[in-house]
Amino acid sequence: MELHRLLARQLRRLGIDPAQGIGAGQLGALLTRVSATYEEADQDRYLVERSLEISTREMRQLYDELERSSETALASQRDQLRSILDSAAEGIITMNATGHIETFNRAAEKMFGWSAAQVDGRDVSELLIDGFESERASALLAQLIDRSGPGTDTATLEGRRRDGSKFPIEVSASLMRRGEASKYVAIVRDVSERVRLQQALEHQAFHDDLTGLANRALLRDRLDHALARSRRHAATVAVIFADLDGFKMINDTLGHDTGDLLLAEVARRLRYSVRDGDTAARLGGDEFAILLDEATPEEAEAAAHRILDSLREPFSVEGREIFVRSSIGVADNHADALDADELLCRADIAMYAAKARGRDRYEVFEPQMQAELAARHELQSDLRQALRAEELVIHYQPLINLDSGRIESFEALVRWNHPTRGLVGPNDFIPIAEETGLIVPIGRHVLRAACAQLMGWRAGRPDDDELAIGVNVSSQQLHDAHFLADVRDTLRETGLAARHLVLELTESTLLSDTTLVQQRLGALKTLGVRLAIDDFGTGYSSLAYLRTFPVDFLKIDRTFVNEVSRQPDQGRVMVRSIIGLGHNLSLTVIAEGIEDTDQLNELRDAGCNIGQGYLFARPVPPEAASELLEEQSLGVTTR
Amino acid sequence: METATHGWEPGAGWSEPIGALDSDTTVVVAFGDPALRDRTDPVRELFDAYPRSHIVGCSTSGQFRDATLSDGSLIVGAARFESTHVASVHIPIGSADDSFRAGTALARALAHDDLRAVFVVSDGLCVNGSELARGISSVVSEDVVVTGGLAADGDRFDSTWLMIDGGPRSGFVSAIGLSGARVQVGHGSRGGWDKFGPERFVTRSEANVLYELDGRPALEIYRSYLGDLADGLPATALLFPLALRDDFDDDKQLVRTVLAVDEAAQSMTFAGDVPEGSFAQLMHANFDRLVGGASDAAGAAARMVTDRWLPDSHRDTLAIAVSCVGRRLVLGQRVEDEIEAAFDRLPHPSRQVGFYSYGELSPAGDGPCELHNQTMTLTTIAEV
Repeated sequence: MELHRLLARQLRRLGIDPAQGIGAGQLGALLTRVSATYEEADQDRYLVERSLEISTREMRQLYDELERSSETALASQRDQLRSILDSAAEGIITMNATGHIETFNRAAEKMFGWSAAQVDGRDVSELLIDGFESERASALLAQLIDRSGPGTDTATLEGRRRDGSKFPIEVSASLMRRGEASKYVAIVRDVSERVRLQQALEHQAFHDDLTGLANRALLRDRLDHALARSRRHAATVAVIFADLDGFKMINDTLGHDTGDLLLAEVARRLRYSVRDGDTAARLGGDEFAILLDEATPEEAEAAAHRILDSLREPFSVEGREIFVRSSIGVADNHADALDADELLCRADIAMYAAKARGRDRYEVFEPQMQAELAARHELQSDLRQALRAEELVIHYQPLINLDSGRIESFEALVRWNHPTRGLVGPNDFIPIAEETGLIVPIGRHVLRAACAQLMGWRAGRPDDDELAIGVNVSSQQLHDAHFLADVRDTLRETGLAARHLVLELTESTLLSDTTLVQQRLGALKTLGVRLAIDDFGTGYSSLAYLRTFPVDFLKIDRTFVNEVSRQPDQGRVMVRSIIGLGHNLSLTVIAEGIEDTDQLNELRDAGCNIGQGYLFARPVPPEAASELLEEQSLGVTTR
Repeated sequence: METATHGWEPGAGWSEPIGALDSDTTVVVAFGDPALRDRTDPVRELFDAYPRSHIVGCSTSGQFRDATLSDGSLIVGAARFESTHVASVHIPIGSADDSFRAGTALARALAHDDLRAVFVVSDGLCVNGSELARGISSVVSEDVVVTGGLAADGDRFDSTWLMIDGGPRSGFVSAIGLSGARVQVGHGSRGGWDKFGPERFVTRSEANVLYELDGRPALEIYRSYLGDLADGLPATALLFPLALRDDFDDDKQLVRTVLAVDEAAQSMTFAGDVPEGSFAQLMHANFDRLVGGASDAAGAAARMVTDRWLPDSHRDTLAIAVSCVGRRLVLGQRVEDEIEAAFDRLPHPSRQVGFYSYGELSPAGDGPCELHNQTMTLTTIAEV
């Protein structure tokens, strides 16, 4: 018989051997022990049951408390969350795993025009513009779904408001996983303003503020693209550079506001002169460029011509008529593979060539222009040096009274005694002087020297009161603010009477800005200085204006005089009508460039008052001019 | 090493002649009924029989020899070493605040080049066992095995004593130090209690005095669980020891048992610290798990003194078992099941002596010595 371990021990303790039987005394002791064991078992069970019951109750209480507190906490958290979401400036939208809207904050309501209740449960793609955007939205969600962990992505999409209007939005979406459930949270920003600013900035970055034309950067970009296309399709790309002649003067004399208005008007004309696909750009100042994509060299030249013509038309700015001339350079990549820099550089060179060759014209790039330009640059720096080193000398050409045969006056003509090139003619350096502005100090130098020279001659000829001196005045000089003072000072310092000074101005100088020119001319007349219109007939021979200028002399351009020899009939008619015109306006008419006696005779017959030209004398140094005067006083007549 | 055990019972006297193993290298451990404070002749006789030996002993909540528990008795275990240096020390301790210092003083007194083990017997009521263990561990090197137990007073928690100078004295800590290459000391400590109910936050406590759990008086919680048995406080609180965790993420667990209750302050005093901010959970016992724990503790202690290659080398082993009074209270008449279970796991031939205590000292895992509650803790001693 297998006894319970405890009972066996109890029996052993009491010295009972079950096989031997139990004594009466032993039985009582055993029963006491067994009873105690039962009591212990009862107590144990009591404790276990009680503790089980109490701990169950406690756990239940804890659970209830937790639930109560978490419900309250959840509700307050929900409220708090809601107010946080509503206070956010960004639209915050949460969606379930299939992209259906669950929450929609106040900013989102404002942004899209829907209330949270209205969009509840709707597909988020309804908030986006149809078509590819919605595909992109679903792709965005799909991309997020693919990710294993929480992640974010940002996209710029087009949102759709309740009224159907669209607006740009930036969306940062993130996927939240909570166990099995997934939620999307999208943070939406209305970026309309930013996009608008961006576009404005981009436009600003690539366009010229003043004219609205493309700027250098955009031109450069388009040129790069055009050249890349050109390489693929073997098409020609041409670039035209246009520079306004004398714009600086307009700016200085009429003010920047007028200058700006003029530039805007120039830009407008350029736009009309080119095809739709072409790009007109302002590179800065008065420099413009036009990119002609896929244009033959002939088409490019035609465009240059059109532009030149369109800019020749007078501009009307603030009630003023302004005449503008331009120098235009054309270059293309027809013959050479060029990159953008090279092509721009060639157009620039061609433009300088146009300036050098007399302005108001266009030139197509030729390789030798580069050398010419280099030489020009060299001359420019030499010219500055020349002014300092007194390499500029003045030659004098006499003007002969065609009735008396006497020397009426001398025209002062500047020459450059270049240390290595020898004597350089005005045609080779006056344009450079004008470009660099050196023309003003040069002009001042010539004026002073010529006046002083005349005073010298007059001192030796007290009985010849008529001898005068003609000095050329360039447009820049006339517009120079100090010009009047210069003339006044020179007359005072040399003691020359104003009427012995004849200032020669070209037609284009007179016409460049009538109002200012009128003022200046009026002031000069007040001083007593006499005025001549030089090279008459070469420019816009605006006879109407001629009447309004207070001039004394009209100098017929040498080309008309030449015509007399070349096409006697037509030439004569022309010359006679000009002379007649001059006389009608009470002007003394002077003919330039008389080279032979036929011309002289014709001009005399036509009533021309004064002649000038190689037939009488070339321009000569002062000493030789003095000799001419000596000969005259000795009675030696010139033919 | 030679071993011997003796038992003295009222009326019957000594089970056999005592003192045969007395020498300078003899260790004597003795565990006696608290009532021996008033009947000192068996203790006197013990000291007389072992004049040269190093004796440590204390009052208990029941002492046992081999597999048999006896009350009212004095149980003695003796071991005479051949080539192990033995030292002993007895240090008075004024209050629980003195515990750490007492530990360090004790360890310094036992300092030896080749110290291998320290066996401590401490007053069970006026000592903070946790601090005592920390004090000792702060001095001795990591590889010194520190074990022992706190004296007890039945289920009365009134007054405990140690055997000092041949008589019972309260307010002492005693220890024996074993030094030398040949001594082997093993240890094992297991509980076998199960946690139940909610985990509670220690909202108010001071050192080893616990006031509140989750803002409720701790004593109130104990009372509600004990029901009718609340009248038996503080002893019946032993039925529900506390499992403590330092913080929420820490798995390391200590078990604390009640030493006293204060109705006025609604507080409970435990055998070790119950830090504020730690997590506490009630535990309860299951007979089989307690017995199994005792068996496992003995198995662990036995392995450490058993030659791996010669498991049946018949080496004499003295096992000193210290089990918690709480376990005795739960096990009731089945208390001998755990004593027997422990004894059965010891190597042959082993002698086991032991007692029911107010606290056990033993390394926790591989770490330093700590105070344990509600465990069966064994120290095995052998000499090779």
